[in-house]
Amino acid sequence: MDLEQALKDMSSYKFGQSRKSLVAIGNFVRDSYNKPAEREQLRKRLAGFLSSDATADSKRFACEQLSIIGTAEEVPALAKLLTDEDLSHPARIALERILDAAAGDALRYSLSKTKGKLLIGAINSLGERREEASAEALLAFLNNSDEQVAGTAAAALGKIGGREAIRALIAARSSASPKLRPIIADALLACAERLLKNGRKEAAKRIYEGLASPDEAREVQEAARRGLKAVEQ
Amino acid sequence: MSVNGRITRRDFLRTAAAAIAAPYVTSASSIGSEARPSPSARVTLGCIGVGGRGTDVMREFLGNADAQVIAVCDVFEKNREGAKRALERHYAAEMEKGAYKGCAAYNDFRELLARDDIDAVLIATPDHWHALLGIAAAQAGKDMYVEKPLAVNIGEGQALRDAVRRYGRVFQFGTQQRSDRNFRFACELVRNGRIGELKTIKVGAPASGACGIEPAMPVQPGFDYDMWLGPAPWSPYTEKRCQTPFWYFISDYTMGFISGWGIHHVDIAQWGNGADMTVPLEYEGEGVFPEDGLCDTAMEWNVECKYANGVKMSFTDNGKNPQGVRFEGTEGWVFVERGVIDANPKSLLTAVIGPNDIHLGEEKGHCRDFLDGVKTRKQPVSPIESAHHSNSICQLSDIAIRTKRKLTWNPGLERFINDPEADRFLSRAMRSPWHL
Repeated sequence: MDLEQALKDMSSYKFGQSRKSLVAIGNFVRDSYNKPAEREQLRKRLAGFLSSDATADSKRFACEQLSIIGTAEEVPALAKLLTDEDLSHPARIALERILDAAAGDALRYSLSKTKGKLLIGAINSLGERREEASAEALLAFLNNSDEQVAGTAAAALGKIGGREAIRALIAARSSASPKLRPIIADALLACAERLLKNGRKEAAKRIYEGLASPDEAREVQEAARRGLKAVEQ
Repeated sequence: MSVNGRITRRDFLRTAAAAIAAPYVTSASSIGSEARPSPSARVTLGCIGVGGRGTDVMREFLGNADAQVIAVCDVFEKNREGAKRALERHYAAEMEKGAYKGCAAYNDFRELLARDDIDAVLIATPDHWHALLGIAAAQAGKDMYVEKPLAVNIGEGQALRDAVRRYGRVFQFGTQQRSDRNFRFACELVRNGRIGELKTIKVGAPASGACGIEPAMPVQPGFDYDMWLGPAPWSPYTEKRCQTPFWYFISDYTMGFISGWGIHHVDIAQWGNGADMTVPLEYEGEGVFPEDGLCDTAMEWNVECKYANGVKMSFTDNGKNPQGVRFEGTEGWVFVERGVIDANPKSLLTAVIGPNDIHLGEEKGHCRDFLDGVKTRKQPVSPIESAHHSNSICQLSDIAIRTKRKLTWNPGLERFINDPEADRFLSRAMRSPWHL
């Protein structure tokens, strides 16, 4: 199947139909490695799908391929899908994988445009990207009235780390609900591990000492005590 | 270790194991003859995922007198109610005595993990749930037996490894061949130099299947499809998507048999090579994928790997390398598969592994090994580190055949060298609200 036919068939693809065009596109994408001109054409065509009247299933597949070859240039097209209930997740798959800062910017911008599961998804993706630039934006969600949003922000900050994130997590821990407390504790444990790995023993020790408190769940106390032993080694 | 002055269930189990070591660390052959420990001295288990494989492993646990399954969880109502009934039949004698409190059946794993009276969990769901469930279990303070493969990408495997380490959990991977006499003996022969210097390992595993185009349809009653999908991308429901064997061959949930089956023999290759703490550095290969239909994982594959110590591994479907593991050294070879062991020279088959030689594990069942680990706090024969590495080999092989490029891996950083595009395959965003 040639590329033009594959793209044409792909635009009308719906689940339950033949996937041959999708398989063909996937092969073109793979085989365009080290062929910059072909690769650029494919990226543009796939990004073009996202704002066309192509089917939702077709757009999902386009997002999947852009997660492999997408660049900063395709970020705007992907970012528009972050408010779409059906396509936000496929768009995030691509935006998590595109290393360019533009992808992080797009996800941070969407925080004020989304709510519920879409907001939670964007927060998660920012956590996975681990960009320090996201910490400030996520701090605001630590005290969100929706505990799922707050917990997600805590987990994300645990992945990002950094002084501000750790300070905010410690502050949030003191007034956290029983449901949020273990999530915040896990985030702090992750931060402490990274500090220890980077040779910042005293900073790690302070976190572990706080989490070894009898106020914490048994699992957290034990993890903190193991951390303190590791600090001493 | 007591917390807040209380003796926890785990403290009690550990103390009991240390004080009365012999009856608990016992061979499978004597399980049926030992008296049933009191309920408080049993390891309590919750089983998450009680389909075909889950109930097989659950039954193996039931064969251990010091284990008690007190809860099951499955998003298929017929699976969880069927497992509950089977457990109640199994514990019927205790029910008659009034000593049995019954088995709970949950749709949502979070309810099971929230129970303080559950020591450990069996995780036997489809692959795309393994990492999330394992992480949640670790955070809830549960030890775990996790069916293979570990995860659907390297990022998930790393997160689960980190969680198991962080919370100090006992972890057994479902690579039960490590508890099989032939596989262990074959690896001991290799590790003790009985075939000379190991040069090549040849691994063959069953190929993935495929199926045709399937239509979207209404979700069947009694099935929580949204929960079944969990972190995987949303797709319209069709019955085969969620049925064995077909979900095994859909990349949203698995890598196909390159990991789903392949990991068993890759794990043995690792064990024999003494490579549990690392993986091959180089991967190059090709695969054959379905051109249409519901399934999209490699039906055939042929991957060449190379370890830092120079050992080469050929990892293929069983249309190329015979199914099993063949270790080839400078002074002979040994081949092992389920129910089969062969060697050259033949004298190796009756060789004795002496007291000063390397010994790998003990003669006991895989579930027994896990239960002993829960009680003694010693890691079983398939701990998280070896699990993550064996799993990584399957994932890296899959990436190599999908990209059709020679890939070089940095095992310290757990990234590819000079291939940021291949790095993109190492993780995948989860469907909201799920996250690592």
